[in-house]
Amino acid sequence: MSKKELSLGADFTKGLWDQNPVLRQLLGMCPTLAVTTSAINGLGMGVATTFVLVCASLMVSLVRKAIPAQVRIASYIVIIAAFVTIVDLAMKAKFPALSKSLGAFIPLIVVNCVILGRQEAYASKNNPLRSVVDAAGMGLGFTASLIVLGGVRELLGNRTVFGFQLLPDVWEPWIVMILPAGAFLTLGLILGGVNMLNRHREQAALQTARRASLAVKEA
Amino acid sequence: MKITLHMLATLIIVGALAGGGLSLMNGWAEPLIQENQRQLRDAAIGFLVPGTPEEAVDQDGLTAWRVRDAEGQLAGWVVRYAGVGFQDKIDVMIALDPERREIRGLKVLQDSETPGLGTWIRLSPANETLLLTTPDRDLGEAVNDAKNYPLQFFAYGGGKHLSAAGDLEVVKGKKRKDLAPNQVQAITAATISSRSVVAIVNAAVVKLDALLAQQGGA
Repeated sequence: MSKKELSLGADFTKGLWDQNPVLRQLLGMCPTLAVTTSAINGLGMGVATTFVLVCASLMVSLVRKAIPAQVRIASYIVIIAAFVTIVDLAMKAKFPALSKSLGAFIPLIVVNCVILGRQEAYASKNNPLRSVVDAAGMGLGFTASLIVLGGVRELLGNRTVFGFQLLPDVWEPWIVMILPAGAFLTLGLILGGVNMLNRHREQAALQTARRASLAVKEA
Repeated sequence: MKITLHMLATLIIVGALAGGGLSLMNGWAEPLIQENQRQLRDAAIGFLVPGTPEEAVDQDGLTAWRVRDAEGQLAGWVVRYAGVGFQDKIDVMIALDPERREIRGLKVLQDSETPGLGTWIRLSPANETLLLTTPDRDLGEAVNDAKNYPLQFFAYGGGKHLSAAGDLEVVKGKKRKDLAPNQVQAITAATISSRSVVAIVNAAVVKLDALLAQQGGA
């Protein structure tokens, strides 16, 4: 039985919310927690990861039929590592300050499970166009989550977002927010909020379905 | 046998293509990375001792530049040295007067200290502006703030300078006016970072003296 195929638009948007790598699948937690001391760090890491994800997905999808199943993971890792090194070199060459700020976490994109996960779960089974669309959606969802997390931590811990001061000087910065504990606290609260929102949506959908069912019966 | 050969060929081809691509990328990026590092280094030297740096002297992890002013006179020294910080290495540049008796400045080039605490070892943008707009670098009261830790290496209390004898020590809870020329006030809640920087500065000046003695004087 063939699985119902999503439209290209749905393939893209699923990564933004319903299958968001950070907020729904809890993947890539290491860079998510470690680099999000500011919004710009979140953006830099998100864009770098998205680039690697899209390029690796395209490449894996193109060569998927030529790679024997026994060496597929090794091949994917080599492909991912090559794109990560390209991002690392490009960042050092063009954005040295951001590269210094993200430090070892750029090379560590190689082991980000979002990337290998999408190759194994999607790119190795779908055509290049679908793989790129799926990767772009996942990358965008990952980037948006990191920017929100970094933005909240930067705002409360430093009064700024993207370097612009948003809270007045009387606000005493919460240093804990830019320390590792702040990452866990913020992520926990965001995940709680997302779960609550999803539960409300599910309950609302259920009630609508019940009402519709009752209306049909009464009719 | 056939599948083994297929697996080997796949890995070899994937590896070779990745290697070739990276070699091309490295050829493009390497000169730009070198240029960025050179610009960063030159900007730091120019900030610490305005003038023209001579060719660097390298030994035992220490790099030193003599800096000459417009008349060709020795304007001072800049020394680059790295040591262990709270979490990772701290890479700093230290400015010395021409006689190497006083420390005239400090700039942290790289560190991984705790954000919001140990990162106060770095000059903040406000610190940098203050230094650039104070030609004689007599910073007066500005140094009387734990968050202005690096300013102590430029001047303290009425423009006096720290000793470059390699005997700097970190103290806590002392008033700035009571500090001796070899005493540096620690950053609140970041004593280890403060001590690390002081240890790096002490090691750097001692190593520079040894290097110059070996070369037959300054």
